[in-house]
Amino acid sequence: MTDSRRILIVDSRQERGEVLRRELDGEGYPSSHLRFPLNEAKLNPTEGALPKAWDLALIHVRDDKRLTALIEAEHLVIKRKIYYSGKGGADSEIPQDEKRIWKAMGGDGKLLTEMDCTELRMAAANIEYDPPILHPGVCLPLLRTIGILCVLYLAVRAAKTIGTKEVSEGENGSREDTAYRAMGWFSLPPKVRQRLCNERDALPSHVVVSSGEWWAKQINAAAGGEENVLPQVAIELAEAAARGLTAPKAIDELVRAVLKKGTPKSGEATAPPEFNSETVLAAYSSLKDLKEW
Amino acid sequence: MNWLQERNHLQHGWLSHFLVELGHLAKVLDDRVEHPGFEECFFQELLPQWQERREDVMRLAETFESEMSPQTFFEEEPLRWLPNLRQPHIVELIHGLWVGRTSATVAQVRAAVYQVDSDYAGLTAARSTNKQCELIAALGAFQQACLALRRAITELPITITLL
Repeated sequence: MTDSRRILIVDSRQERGEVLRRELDGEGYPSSHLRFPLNEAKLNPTEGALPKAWDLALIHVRDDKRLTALIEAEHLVIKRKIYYSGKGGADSEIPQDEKRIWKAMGGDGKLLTEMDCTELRMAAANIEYDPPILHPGVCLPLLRTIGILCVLYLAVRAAKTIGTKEVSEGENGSREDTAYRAMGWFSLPPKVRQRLCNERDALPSHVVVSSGEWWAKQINAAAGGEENVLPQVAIELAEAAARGLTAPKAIDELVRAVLKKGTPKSGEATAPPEFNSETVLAAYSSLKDLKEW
Repeated sequence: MNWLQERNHLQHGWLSHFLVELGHLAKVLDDRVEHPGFEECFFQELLPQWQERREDVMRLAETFESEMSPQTFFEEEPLRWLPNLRQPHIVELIHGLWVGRTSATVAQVRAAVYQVDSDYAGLTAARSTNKQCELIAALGAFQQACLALRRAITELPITITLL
């Protein structure tokens, strides 16, 4: 399928811009990748000089000012602008009240699905069309990271304490045992369980996953820096509350425990919660209520 | 078409429509509704649709594992940039645990397809007997099997869940 609508991709990062262009082209929607300085523009061979009229421009947020200057200098006409960034629609640098793609597009791997390309083509064809790709999606990257850390912690403990044994339901009523069953430890294929238990490098060691510092390192990296963690967790917990999460305090406590940060109270911070199996289990139980991630 | 669209298309598009037609045929056979030629049309054109759609339903069940697994989270930010968590064994663990929690739901869809297959054969056989009461009974069984299939598809999660 081909479409004569013109889509301009404006991205100074060559790899990402080219991935986008290839993905749109691959779905039969010819597009051009424009990057700065202008003599590096990757235009389709048939286009020659930079065309003046475009149905849609996909603009990386950092290239907006340069595009604005170019529009004035070259008298470009762009019917519709859509912004994107590595952080998705939550990026504070994206001009307010502008349409933005609500998915993180920071990497150089596959950025757009076939459906995304179709939606963008329809957006190029019809200025009134409001494609779903522009709607905020569920985006809880830190909670995903914390959820995986909780599972990893429990799996390493299960591998150490239960190993490959088959423990039938009700044999052990501890909170930890209940969590092992809930996460599906006993449903894992025996081969997988055996490998996780027997191969030394299969999973991180018990010492590693029991270290708050190691957790903090992963969470800080996921948030793009320690200073972003607590604000980002607060945002995601508010989002998660609308998606089934009933006990956000347990997550907040876990994060404060690994960051060793107390809760601010009347100008002073309380002592940070302790990082231990109870803190992890409470957070895990809370996250299990979450219906969308 | 992605997995979710396929699921919606099958469940809300084709299957719902098919169930309406089945209900209508039941009324025609019961003489509650008069619709000359409908029975013939149903057996000639509508019923054989199952043969094509069953493959779509089976494909939906088969691709569920690859399309809706939380292992896809590791391809997205921020996990794709966290080498300590993006280890193959950790991805396998998250995927394996999820499969363990959802495999019964997928098995239910497959079982429902086999039941529809069986009642489909029963319905076509009953028609060849030319006995109205057998046809009505077979249609009732086929209808129930299709309803069970719809329930089973409904149980397939529409969001990717981690825990």
